[in-house]
Parts: sequence; C-alpha cells; structure tokens
Amino acid sequence: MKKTISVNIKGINFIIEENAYERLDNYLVRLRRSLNNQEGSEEIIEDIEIRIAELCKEKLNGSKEVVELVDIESIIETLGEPEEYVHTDEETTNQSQSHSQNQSQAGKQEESDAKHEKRLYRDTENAQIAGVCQGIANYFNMDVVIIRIIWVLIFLFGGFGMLLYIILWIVVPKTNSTIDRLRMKGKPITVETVREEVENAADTFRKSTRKFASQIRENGPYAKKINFIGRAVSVAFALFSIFIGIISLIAFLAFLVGGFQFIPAKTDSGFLSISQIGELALSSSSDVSTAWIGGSMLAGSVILFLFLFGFYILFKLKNKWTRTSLWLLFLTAIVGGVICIWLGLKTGRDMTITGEIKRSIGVVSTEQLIIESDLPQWANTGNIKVIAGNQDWLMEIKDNRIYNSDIRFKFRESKDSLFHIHEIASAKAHTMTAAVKKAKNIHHPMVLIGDSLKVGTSYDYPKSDKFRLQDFYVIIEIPANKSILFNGKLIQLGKDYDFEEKESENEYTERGRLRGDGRYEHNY
Amino acid sequence: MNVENTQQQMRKGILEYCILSILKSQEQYPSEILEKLKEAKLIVVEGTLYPLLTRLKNAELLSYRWEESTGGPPRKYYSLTDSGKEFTEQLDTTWQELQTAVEKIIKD
Repeated sequence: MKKTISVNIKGINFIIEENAYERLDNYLVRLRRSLNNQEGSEEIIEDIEIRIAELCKEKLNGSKEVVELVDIESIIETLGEPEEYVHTDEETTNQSQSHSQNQSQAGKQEESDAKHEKRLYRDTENAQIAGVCQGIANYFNMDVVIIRIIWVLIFLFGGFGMLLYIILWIVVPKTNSTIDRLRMKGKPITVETVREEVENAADTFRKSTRKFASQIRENGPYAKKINFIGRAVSVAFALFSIFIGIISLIAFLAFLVGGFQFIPAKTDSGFLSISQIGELALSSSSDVSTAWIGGSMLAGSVILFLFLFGFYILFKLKNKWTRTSLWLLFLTAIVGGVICIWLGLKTGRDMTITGEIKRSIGVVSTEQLIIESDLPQWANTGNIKVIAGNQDWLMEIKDNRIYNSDIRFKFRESKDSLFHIHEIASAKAHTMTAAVKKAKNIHHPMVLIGDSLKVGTSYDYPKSDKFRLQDFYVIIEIPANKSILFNGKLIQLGKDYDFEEKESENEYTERGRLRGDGRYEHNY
Repeated sequence: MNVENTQQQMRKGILEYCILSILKSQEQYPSEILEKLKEAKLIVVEGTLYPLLTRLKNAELLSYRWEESTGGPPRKYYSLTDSGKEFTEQLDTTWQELQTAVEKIIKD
C-alpha cells in the first residue's frame, strides 16, 4: 500500500503517490534555483507546470488513476534536467544586451526627456528580510547573491552592519507603485514600460494570490508570516554562529602565532607563546606533537563547524552532505577534546609527588646578620616574605634555563644563640626520585661572607626539567634578642612580625627530602 | 572539442528561427511546437523550448493568448507579432544565403 496525495497542477486535480510528488516538487525547486530570478522565470516555470499537467494527463489515459513515481521519472526525462536546458549566464547577458540596446534606441527616439533616473527602493517582492539587498542589487544591476555576501561580511566586521541594515530598512522606501518599480530598475517611464510593468504586476499578483491560496490550504492561514519571522530568526542565528566562528578563529590564530600575552612570562624572543608553554608543561616531545594534533582538531573543527553551520542556515543548504559534514566535524571535535583531556591528566599525574631538598648555607655567630640583595621589592605575608625581583614577569626563559624571581624568606626562632641559614627547593613529578632530582636541579646564588649574606635575585632550573611547580625559599633562624638588617631594614623577632611557625604544608600525599648532610628522609 | 557539443551549438543557433517558422502559418501551443521540433530532432529535452519562448515573447516577437481546453490545463497559444513576422522574413533570407554558402563550401 502506498500513500497518495491529491494535488492541483494548473487547475487539474491529480492523485499522485507521495514519493512521486516529492520527486516532482524537488524538480520544480531545482528548476527555480537554476532560473535564479532571471527575467521571465515565473513564466517559464508556469509553462513547464502546464506541460507537466499535460504529460500527467497523457499518462493517466484508460483505467489508470494514480500518477506513480515511474510516470514522474519519465516526464522528467522528457523535459530534461533544469541544469541541462537553463543556461543562466548566457541568457541573462543576452537579455541585458538586448535591454541596453532597447534602452539606447528608446533614448534616441525620445531624445532628452527620457531621463530615467534610478532610485533606491526596497524590493519587498524578492525580499529575504526586508528587501534592502535586493533593492541595492536592482539599483546597481548586480546579482543579489553578491550583495548578500558583501552584506554578511559587513555584518561580521565592525558590527555596524546590523545597524546600517535597520537604518536602510527605515529610511529607504519600499516600492509601492509601478512608477517606483521602474525607477528602481532605472527603466524610462513611458506609457509602454508602465503598461509592461502593470502587466507583470498583475501577473505576479495573480500568481501570488494563487500561491497564497494554496498555502492557506496546506499550512494554515498565517504560514507566510510565520515563515518570514522564522527566516529572520534563523538568519540572525546563522550570522551569530559565523560571528562566534570568526572570533574563535582570531583567538586561535593569536594563540598559534604567539606574542600573545597569555602568561606574564618572557623569553629571549619575547613573550611566552602557547607552543612554548606546551613544551614547558608537557613531559615529552611526542606529547607536544599530540597536543598540537588534539588542539588543532578541537579548535579547527569547532571553528569550521560554526562557519559551515552559519552558512548552511543562511543559504538554506540542507542535504545529506551538509549533515554529514557537520557530524564529522562534531566527532573530530570530540576526538580532539578527548586527546586534550588525556594529555591534561597525563601531565597532572606528573605533578602528584613532591620532592624537597634542604641545604644548609651556614651558621653565623653575630649580633646582627646583614642581608644584601639586588631584590628591589618585598611584601609581607605572615611569616613569609615574598621578594619579587621583577614583579612584571612570572618567569623568564634564558639560555635553556627558567628563571623565577619570587624569592621567599621564612624567619624562625633559633634554638641556640646562632643564626642558621637554610634553603629549601622543591619540585613535583610522578615518582619520588624524579621529583627529588628536579628539586636538586634548582639553583640559587647565595653566599655567606662573614656576617653578611648575599642573596641572588632569582632561582633557576633547566628548561629540560619542565615546569613542575618548582619552589624555593630561604629559612633563617634568628636567635633571641638578635636582629637582621635586610637591605637597611631592621627585622627583629617578636617585634615587627609574628614569627609563630605554622607548617601548613601537610597537603602533599607523599614527600621526600634530601637533607643537607646527604641523608634522605621519606614522609618526614 | 567533441562532436555533440558542436552539434548542440549548431542546433541552438537555428532553434529560434525554427520556432518562429513553425508559428508563421498559424498560432500553436507549446505541445504542438514540441512535437514538430522533436520530429525534426532539433531538441532532445522538452525543457529547452520554454526559456526560448519566454525570451522571444519578451523581445516582442511573439505574443500569446490563453485558451481553456477540455479535460486538460489551459493552453497558451503563441503567434507571431508584426515585428516577429518581419524578423522571421529577414531570417528567411539569411537562412537561404547561409544554406547556399554552406553547400558551396562543402562541395568544394
């Protein structure tokens, strides 16, 4: 059993199989697209519809009552595919040539009073939104598609396009009279052309009322209005999608090219780029390549998705290719995302265990320890002093070493009458040995000469160690009633600062320490 | 360059002339015109005719009138306008000249 529907083709009623109807409808849609609004296209379509009705009638002689798919196939074969017989370019140029000839002849005949000034109107008859594009296209005698594409570009860059469109919508009058339509197309206003245009208008009116009647029958009384609103919303949606696509593309390119101030860090060659961050954070060069692949897949497919999605909606493209391409891009984005997440976890695993090294710098017996440093600034955070050598940069990469200028000082009460100076370096890895090894690689220039301590402005570690939350601080144990002169500033126990010791570093699951005397402590 | 293409080009050039000639003696509707053109093997697919008819009509060489038909869709009966008749006569002369010229060249 097959589903049939009743259709009216040019005044004749036919009972037609549903799939046959779809085939026929598709044919007419393609025909309309091929004709692409060229002059007389409505008429050509009407003629061909009449012919289809005739041919259907022929197929139904005798006892046959239903038009089947084979019949439609055969009719289409007889008529030929629209692409076969519609030669838009050639014919439109021919037309415009004959047009201009007509016009120049007319100009000669009517001499000077045939000044046919062109005016800008909104062409609501061929409108997509409000007919601004079509009006401009008429004015400049250009293809409306080109104007629409230019318009989309204006929408995207600068964003004033939307405003401009609305202004034109309000300011530019819509064509009301035949005279307006002639002015819009720049035809001379003569009795002849007015008659022609009136005939055209009557023709369109007749057709549109017929079309409207059929729409009422098919889709309910407000189908046209709903279509218009729906179209406006989908156009806005499409433009928004393309807009986000462009922004993402710009952001992605900025990341790629580098010189993008993503992290306040600098290298020999300028700011730290995204690829250098990748190299610093990821464990191996193969991970870096994988990150590139995953990241590009994710970013590329998301951007392409936004663009295609927008364009498909904008130009009403809807077939299995558009759907397949969007699905493919979606899957690519998922795969890229999974790769990125996997790399994140892998890198995160490489930062689970803390290794720490404690070195003793020296012991001094003096009334006042003098600390000298080129460190220009310091800040007080409880019992820890953060000395920032250069506040603008988080880190600096130079000669394959990473320099960090956050030198922290911790002051504690000494158990005897001597100043004890230690430094503690720590780093993370996924094994204890690796973490301790990385901590051991941290270097900081600090020398004790007599009772004065010279502190370097930064600590550094090899770039090959990667960025593994390397940390460094100096511990100074101050005896009771003794003080430190830090770059000329006096520091005394219990006076300026509360030196109560708070060990708040028990958050690590596992830690190890290589003591100054070479002894290794695990989970101390 | 293939033969089919060239054949198509040759046919296309004279197609308009043939349509005008068919309508010279009496007014006809598209199906009748199609029958003659297909018989003469001048067109392969029927769709070719319709853009041409519209073009000739827009060039004011043809005009049409509607006529109801019994049991079928309404018919558009096309006929030559005065300028169409004049145009066709001019083409007749050109065709005669071309025919003689081509034959002469082929013979040599």
